[in-house]
Amino acid sequence: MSRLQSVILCTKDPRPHHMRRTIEGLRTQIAPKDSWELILIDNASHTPVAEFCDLSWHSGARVVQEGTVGLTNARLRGIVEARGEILVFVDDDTVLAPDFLVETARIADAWPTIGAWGGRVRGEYDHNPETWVHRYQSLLTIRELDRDRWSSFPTPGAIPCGAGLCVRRAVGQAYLAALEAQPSRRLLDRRGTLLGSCGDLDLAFCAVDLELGIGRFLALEVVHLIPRSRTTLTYLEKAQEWNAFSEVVLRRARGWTVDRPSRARRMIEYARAMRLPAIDRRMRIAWLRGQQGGLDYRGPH
Amino acid sequence: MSQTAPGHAVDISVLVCTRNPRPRHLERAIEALRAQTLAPKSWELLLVDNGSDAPLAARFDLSWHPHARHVREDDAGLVPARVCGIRESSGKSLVFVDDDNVLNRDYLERALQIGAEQPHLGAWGGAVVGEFEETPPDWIHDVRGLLSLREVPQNRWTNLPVLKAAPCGVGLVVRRRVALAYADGVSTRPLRRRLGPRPGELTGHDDFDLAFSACDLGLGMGRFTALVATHLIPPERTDLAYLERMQECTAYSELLFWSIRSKRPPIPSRLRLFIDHIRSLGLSRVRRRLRRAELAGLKMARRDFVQGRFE
Repeated sequence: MSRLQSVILCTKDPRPHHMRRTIEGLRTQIAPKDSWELILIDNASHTPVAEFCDLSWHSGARVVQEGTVGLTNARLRGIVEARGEILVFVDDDTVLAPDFLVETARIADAWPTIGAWGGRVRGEYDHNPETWVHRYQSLLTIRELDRDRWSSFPTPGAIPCGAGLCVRRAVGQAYLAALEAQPSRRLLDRRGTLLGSCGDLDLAFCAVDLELGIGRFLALEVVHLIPRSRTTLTYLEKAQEWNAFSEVVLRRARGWTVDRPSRARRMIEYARAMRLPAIDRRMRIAWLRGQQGGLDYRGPH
Repeated sequence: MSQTAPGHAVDISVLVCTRNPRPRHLERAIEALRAQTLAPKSWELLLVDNGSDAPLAARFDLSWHPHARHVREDDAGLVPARVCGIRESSGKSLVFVDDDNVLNRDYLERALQIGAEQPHLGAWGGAVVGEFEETPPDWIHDVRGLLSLREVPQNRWTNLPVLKAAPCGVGLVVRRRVALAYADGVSTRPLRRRLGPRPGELTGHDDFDLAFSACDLGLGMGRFTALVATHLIPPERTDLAYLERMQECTAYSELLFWSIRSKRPPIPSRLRLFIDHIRSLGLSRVRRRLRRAELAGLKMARRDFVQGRFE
């Protein structure tokens, strides 16, 4: 394996049992340790992560403190710290399959035209959720995949998500430069209790900005660990609203067209939502609210 | 005229499918092939005569090319002509050229290069510029898609079945296995043959059907800035009545295309068609006529879909 990979693990006050699984997933990678480094970005956790995370099994591992709260800030710090040619982003609740880094290296070689990629994300619930939750599992970053899907432009189905997102160094650098020029884009990710959720898309789309492609590959698999608190209607409603909100804000920040529904259209949408069963109605309305919030949003200042 | 030696696989087979061509156009198309920078030894040329009234073999000399031949397919229609060409060809990739398509000199060379650099692609094409015999009306820009004119501001490719990246039929390049899968597919599903124009019909979605066959095999398709072809457009093709008919046929075949390829084809409701009809009143005269033609095509396709003729 010729290219060094940098695994960037961003965390803030992780659930210890999830973090252990994440670390275990990294420890059991079949890729030789000298082919990758591990950078753990501790994003102002109350208890420093280094106190309960043992990284001594990897000589190329280090913990970096990032004091500014926000997943985007943590990722940016990771990009600055990374020395690898391929950057692999891992959250504190994602477990990479043992061959993930080997497959990533293979894809990087076989697909010189692809700049950002990911794979299949399976969900693993701490507790069995109610059946309706599965309808909204994309909000929990669960991404099924039937075959490789790739594209040189943003197309649904080919867009990798943040769990196990791999980008080439040039894409990471482009993201760094873009956010320096347009700081409002830092707000697209979760910050503390705010659930913004499009920072990973923004990063992946930097590949498209460089005329590289994006894709999702069957060979890459990660497990997303989901605590009970994320399967409640209140949480998912909030996640839905933030999702719709940040999607609109992302589109605007990137200068893409945003559909602004007319007042009549919005009323029709609300009326249609009323005919849905209770849970779907609340989720639909949350989406409409988020979309409107995004359209009305006038920037952070 | 020598035949391609059996078992000799050239890099590219160029298939020119034609029926009663305008002689001047076909001559231009052939001249452009003759001027290709790719050495003739690495490609073959098949002129597929789709039942022209005066056989083309006697009228067009291909002896300048070491691997060129005339093929005749009497089953009228672009799809049978292409299938015949595919079966007769031996190239690792196939390039489809219509009798009014003039390829840039480096087209074949660059097409080969793209295929080598991107082994995951199965179908690709490029930009198409129009050469009008007479200055066209101003509004022609609105209907450039109908005339197969394509701007390609940047390379675009995907293995997902979306029209946004699909190459059109002008200079369409496909890998051999994609072509064979298409030929088999259209023989087993006759409805797919209806996507291609037959004599007297105007346009179809058979080009996209062929390009999408790449995605069926898990390969990609794309449009590339490096590939440029010219489409020769005679005055009658910029006539509004002609374009209206073309618009109607295109709208019809697009719906047929999605009925074949998608589990949920975008069949418009009658209410939607009615609303769009009313809305078209707000358009300028030319746009209104074209929009009405499109709606007529959709309405016809909707009727056929409802009556189960798309199954």
